Amino acid sequence: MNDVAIKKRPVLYLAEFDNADAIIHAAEQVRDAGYEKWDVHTPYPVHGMDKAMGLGDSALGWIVLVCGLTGVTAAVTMIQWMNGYDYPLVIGGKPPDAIPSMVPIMFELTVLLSAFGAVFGMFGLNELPKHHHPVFNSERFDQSSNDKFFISIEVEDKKFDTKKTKELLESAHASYIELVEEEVS
Amino acid sequence: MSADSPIAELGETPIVPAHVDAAFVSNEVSRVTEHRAPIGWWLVFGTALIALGILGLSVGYLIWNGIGSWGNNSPVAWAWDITNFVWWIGIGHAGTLISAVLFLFRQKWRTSINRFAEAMTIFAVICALLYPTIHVGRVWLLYWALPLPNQMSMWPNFKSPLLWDVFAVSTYFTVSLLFWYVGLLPDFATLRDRTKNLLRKKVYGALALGWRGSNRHWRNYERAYLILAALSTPLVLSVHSVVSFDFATSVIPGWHTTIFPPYFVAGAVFSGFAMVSTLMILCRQVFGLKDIMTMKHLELMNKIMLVTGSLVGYAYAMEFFVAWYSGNEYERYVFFVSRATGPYWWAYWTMVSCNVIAPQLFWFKRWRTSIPVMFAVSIIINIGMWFERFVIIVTSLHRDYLPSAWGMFSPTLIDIGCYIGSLGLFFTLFSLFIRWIPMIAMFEVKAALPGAQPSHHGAHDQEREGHGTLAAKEA
Amino acid sequence: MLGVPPMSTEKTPLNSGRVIWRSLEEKEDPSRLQAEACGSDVVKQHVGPQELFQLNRRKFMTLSGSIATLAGVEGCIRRPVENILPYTDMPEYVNPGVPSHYASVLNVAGEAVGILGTSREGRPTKLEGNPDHPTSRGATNLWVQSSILDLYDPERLQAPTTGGARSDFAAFDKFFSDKLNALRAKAGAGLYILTQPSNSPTYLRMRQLVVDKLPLSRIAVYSPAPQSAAREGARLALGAPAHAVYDFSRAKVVLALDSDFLGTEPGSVLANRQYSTARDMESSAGSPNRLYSVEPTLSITGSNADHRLRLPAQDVARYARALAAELAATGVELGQVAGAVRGSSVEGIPEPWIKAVARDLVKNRGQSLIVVGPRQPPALHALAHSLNRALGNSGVTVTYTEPVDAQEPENFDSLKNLVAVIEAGRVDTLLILGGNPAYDAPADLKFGDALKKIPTSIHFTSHLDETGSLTTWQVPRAHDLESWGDQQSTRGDYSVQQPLIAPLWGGRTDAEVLALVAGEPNWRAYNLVQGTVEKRGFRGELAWRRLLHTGIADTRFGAVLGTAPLRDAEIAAAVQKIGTGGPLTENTFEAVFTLDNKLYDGRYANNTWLLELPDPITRITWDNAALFAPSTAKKLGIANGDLVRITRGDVSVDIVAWLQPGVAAQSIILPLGWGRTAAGKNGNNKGFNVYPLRTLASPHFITGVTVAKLDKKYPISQTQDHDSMEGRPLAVDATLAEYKDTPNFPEYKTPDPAFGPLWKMPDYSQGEQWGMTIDLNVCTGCNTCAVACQAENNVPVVGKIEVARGREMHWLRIDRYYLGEDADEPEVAFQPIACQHCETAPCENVCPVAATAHSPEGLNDIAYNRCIGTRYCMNNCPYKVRRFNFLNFNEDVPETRQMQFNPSVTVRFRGVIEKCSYCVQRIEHAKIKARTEGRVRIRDGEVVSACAQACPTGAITFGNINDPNAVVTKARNRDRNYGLLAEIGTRPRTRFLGKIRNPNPELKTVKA
Repeated sequence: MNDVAIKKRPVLYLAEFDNADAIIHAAEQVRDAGYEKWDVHTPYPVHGMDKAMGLGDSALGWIVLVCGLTGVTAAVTMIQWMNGYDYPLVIGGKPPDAIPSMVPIMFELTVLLSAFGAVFGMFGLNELPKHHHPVFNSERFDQSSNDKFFISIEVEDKKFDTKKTKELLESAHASYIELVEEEVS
Repeated sequence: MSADSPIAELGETPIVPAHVDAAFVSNEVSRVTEHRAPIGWWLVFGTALIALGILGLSVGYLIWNGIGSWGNNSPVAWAWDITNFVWWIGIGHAGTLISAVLFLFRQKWRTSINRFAEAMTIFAVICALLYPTIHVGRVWLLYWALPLPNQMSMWPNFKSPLLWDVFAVSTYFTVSLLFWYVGLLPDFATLRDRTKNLLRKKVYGALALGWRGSNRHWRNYERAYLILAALSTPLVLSVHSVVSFDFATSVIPGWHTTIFPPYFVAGAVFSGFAMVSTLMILCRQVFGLKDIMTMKHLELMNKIMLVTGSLVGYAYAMEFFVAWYSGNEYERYVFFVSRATGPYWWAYWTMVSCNVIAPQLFWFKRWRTSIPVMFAVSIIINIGMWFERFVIIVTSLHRDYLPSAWGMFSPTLIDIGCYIGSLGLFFTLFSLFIRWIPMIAMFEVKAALPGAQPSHHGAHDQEREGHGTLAAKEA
Repeated sequence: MLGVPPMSTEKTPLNSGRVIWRSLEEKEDPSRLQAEACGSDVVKQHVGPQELFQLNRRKFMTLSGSIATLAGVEGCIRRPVENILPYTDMPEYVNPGVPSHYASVLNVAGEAVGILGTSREGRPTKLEGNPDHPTSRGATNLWVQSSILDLYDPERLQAPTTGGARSDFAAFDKFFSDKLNALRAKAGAGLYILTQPSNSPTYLRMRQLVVDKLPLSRIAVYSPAPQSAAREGARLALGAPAHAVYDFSRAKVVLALDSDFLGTEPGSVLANRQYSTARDMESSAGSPNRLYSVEPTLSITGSNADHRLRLPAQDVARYARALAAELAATGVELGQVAGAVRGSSVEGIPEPWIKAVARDLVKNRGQSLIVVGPRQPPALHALAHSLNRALGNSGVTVTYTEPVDAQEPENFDSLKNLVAVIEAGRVDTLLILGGNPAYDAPADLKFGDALKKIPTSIHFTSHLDETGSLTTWQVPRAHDLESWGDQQSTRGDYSVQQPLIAPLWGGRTDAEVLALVAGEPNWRAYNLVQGTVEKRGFRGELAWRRLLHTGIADTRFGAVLGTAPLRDAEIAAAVQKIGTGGPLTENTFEAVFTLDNKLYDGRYANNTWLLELPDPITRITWDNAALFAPSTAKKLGIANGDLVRITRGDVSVDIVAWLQPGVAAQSIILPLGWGRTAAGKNGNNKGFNVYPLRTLASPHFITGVTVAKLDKKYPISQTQDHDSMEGRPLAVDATLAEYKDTPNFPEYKTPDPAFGPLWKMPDYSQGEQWGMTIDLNVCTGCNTCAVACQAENNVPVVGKIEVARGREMHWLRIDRYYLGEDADEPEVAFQPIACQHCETAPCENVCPVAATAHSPEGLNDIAYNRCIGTRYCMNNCPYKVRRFNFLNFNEDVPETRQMQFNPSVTVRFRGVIEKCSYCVQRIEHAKIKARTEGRVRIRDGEVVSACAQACPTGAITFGNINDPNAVVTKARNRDRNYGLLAEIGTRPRTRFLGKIRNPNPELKTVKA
């Protein structure tokens, strides 16, 4: 990435911290400084970080609810239509559209679609998969999945100022600060 | 409680030694996938491959010649095929239980073993699925059991417990797989970031979906994990209940009983934990992970086996009581004559001694904490649980209502081949798993390490708010 | 057709008889006939050239199926192309898909049984009884049912052979006529003919013709299962050879002395029907008959007896004497016989068995009957005749007719004399018409060795069997179903046997051979039979057609005898000689030769239906066994499956031992007819041949054989290995007294649930609702229904090993249970079990693909094509009637065998479940017929399941249970009705009627 031939431009500041305490303090400072386009990268979910970053609750639950309802409805309509309406048969003398025998499959389909909702909903909200992100341009960022903690503040942020932001991060006792660049295409 | 305070359910000492920190966890776990495999792994893998070959041959022979290649007959139309099916499905249950139920119950110690157990679940379910597939007379028409439009314009019969099974087991498999994969995301990222090997980087990179530990992600991630756990818990209970419906909803004495769902679930957890500890003990020895899969873990597992084993024993007793109390002569015959003293008495008493008597050793700490003892017992339990299914299926069928139709079952080579083979399939998959995939949920262990979480403020109020984040659970 | 009675559409139109015979009529030259037969539409279509069938579709399917599955590309299985030859010219009166029926007659175990042959597109597929024929009354037995399979046996002799090389009829006829001309020159000197006993007037006419034309030729008659004892007995008593014709329907008390009149004896079809008439609670107006049986082995008759006394065969006469003495003492007028029977030993015979039985017989004067089995000596038969006469039964329950073959020589003497002249070298040419003497002749005659000494011996035979392999020529003998002939029953009913198909291999009938010998120009059986018919007074085309059509002559032949007083002196003299000894000592054993319940004397040994059919008593398939009383076996240290060596003098036979409750303590039962070595690939080396122990002196039972246990085991395949009902209410029975007390006794043991299902059941009150009722009281367990079902529904045969694995495919099985404490003195209960067609069928709920479901008419249908073979239904059937094709049991079916398949029934592929369908194809057939006749409803009796139709006792009734007047409805409404396992709520459509036992209060607790 030090190849002079390619034109680069800065995208974000990446600040490294050594432990959870440090990162959570830093996060609070960045939050209080009123930044919006910034993020925290931790090897594991750091507890209390949502509040420190001033994030609200996840919307995932609603997605799952919708999927679950779809599942149960699908089960009921499918079974009723197939066994009760489209091709009714006398099975063991029972009514073709008997309800009790539908219950297990109603449950299974509810769970199945809810699970899909949970997983793929999460991917959607997180915009995954996303294999290219400026943070990956920093070599030290590899440690974010090991035992280091990072804060990234984007140039895009309207409060971003190369100097002020750096000072902010320094004052938060970042053990290392880097202005990450990306290639201009 | 605060992060570095001792963990209540483990007594006074923390679960992992002091020298274990995040980096240590990354190294310890990842190196298994990064360095050459130890000889022990090759031994297991090689043996497994041979058994897998046997499976191929047996199944090929079976499909070519028909179900007659097995010992199945009238009246024993189901025998080893469904026995193995239920056995494997049961084994699978421990994984989900550990990852979902213990998660909801905030059992922090699960973090060292849940990955491992989930993998076991998935492979066990694959083995289980094999049997319903090959046990039908016309395998090539199996897809008729799915509600697919067809030229006969016929639909499956949704009244059949077997069809419920199809849905339950496939749902179970899918959800377990998703759960497993979601848990793997951050660890794939770790492997991606550690390696310099381009191929590994590409593969693990692709699998990690570009995970970058963003807290904005963790937020949804934890919620998804929580929901999956909440879904899996009733699911795991439902699956074995539905499996037990195959028997419970029938009219055959010995099958036709309401105790089956809880009885089957207890048995499933029982056998599942036995299998987990068998595998854990092996991996612990082979890969030297004693610091992460500690004796504490094993001891806790043994306690659970003691409990579930006793539950199963209670169920056995209750079956007899109900048979006697119902006054139904057919029921009474099955239990008091067929099982206890009939031609298959040996199977019944093997079952009882393996499942009820053996685990009682775990009342004593000395045996509960002895690797050889628990290894032996865990294997004995797996044998016993296989016999439980054999007893339920074969002894109930071989003597039901009309004595004129009574018969006996004896397995053929193909029966044996299909069973050995499924073990081969299981261990092949499992060896591949421990070789290429982090067998321990690194990020979860890290999050649970002493000092992993902020030491003051925030934490407490968060928890009281019941924010329900993964961190909250782990703290 | 003027003057011809209108025939029911169930029977063939008159002229369809013509189709058959006209097609044969002109053919004089046998070789041309053969060609013609194979060329004819009928045969060509099915006995097509091999290459047509080389691409075996089923095998192909198995292959591609497995491959496809393994490769996961099921979609692209390609069906192979098959060529089917069309009719070159469509024969008259053959409607594709519509079976036609031809009346004919079969000789079964020495009795003529009238049959109706079902013909599909010109090939017979099924035999039923002729309802108009007195000896069958629409019923059959297992031998009638299975003979259709013999017709198509691919291993039948297909052309004349000589010196081990295949020849042809042209060559044979050349040789034969030359030979005959030479013999005629010598007035037949050196010509000997060995035939079997026959009821065929035409055959006898030809035999007489031979005697007239060739005065120096000699004719011998031999059968391993002769009725000679009965004939001699009658001759003794009456002074002339006679048939004793019984009427069990009028007998309130029957005493069977070593007699199996319900099983292996001639006329068992009629006997069963008559017996059941007297047994049935309705037709007997609530007072069923009482059957006493005194016998060494547990026969079908014995297993139906109300009281059974197990005695060694040699002691039966002793018992008869004692009984006669008792009768005389109680004032029954026996004349000189009374003196003859006085003072016989009663040791080992329980006293009540003499006193109480005698009282019962006297009490039922004129409506009792004493029958003696063919194993017993003539004198005992004679004694029975005089007892019956003295009890006033003559003319009521027993009458005597003149046999059609009054000159029939004494069976064993006849063969002995033949062997003698052979040894004397006086035999130049021996014609053996059917039979298999080299296998079944008494061993000490060494018939086989004698046979080798004859310059020219010709065996007219269906198979190249043990005898054929010793003769110089072997010539195909036509099967009764493919040739013209006639039969006269013991009662004197005359029927013409009309072929259902052109001879498959151009065989000759016995009558034809004799005609050729006699030099008869019009020697074809057709002409011969017509000759006989005219001689018997049926003149003209119309009479002939009526005879063919109804299958029975309206006039009876055979004079009625036995009205004159019996010859007391002779009887007394004879009786003096029998049953004089005491009982056998502890360690003396007698070997009793019984006709096999399935293979008879061995003539059916290559019939896979019969081979796989479980023996009605032992439930053993594919084998026979030496039967021992359990107590005796215990003493000898013999267990089931042990090989034992049974020795008579210097001859010994190794055979597997089996413990059979009910066998007399000192008797060893040896079923004949097994251990064939040249029966065909199915019959060879199945079971054990006990003929070597049989001697001329004592062909029926030998006293003083020795038993030695060999320490070898022999595997036996049974379809039922558990004999006890475990006290469960399955085959429910009660004594007459108990029944009178509680007429609905079964309900107390297995009640229908007090309340119905929790959901609303489908409405079964409309339209036809099919149901079956089985009256256990008259079911004799004869196995006929099982074979009939197999014949109707293309049920495959799986072989001994698969049976041992519990994979037999019988849709209908007869469960046999033993009751009582003493293993030696069992009471027997039979219970036919097929699909019960439960209204709340457990099997239907569990099928994941809905392959089995209920029809609006209450049938438990199964769609083979939809079945994927999870076998869940099989598990969940409480009656275990569902059968699974564990392997491809229909692989490589020979073409001739395929001809028997019922085209209305699918032949099932491996991997699918099958079971009793209530003969749904018959139901549909009847519906179509009704609709075409513009009827909405099917008449009662129009639909009869194969089992119900075949059942000789009418135990099984089938029909529309919504029709209040239907027989089945009436039956199922009787007080004794119950549903098997009804208590578990299956609502079976098949109902059973509880069995009534009618014990003699004075004998109740007696054990021998």
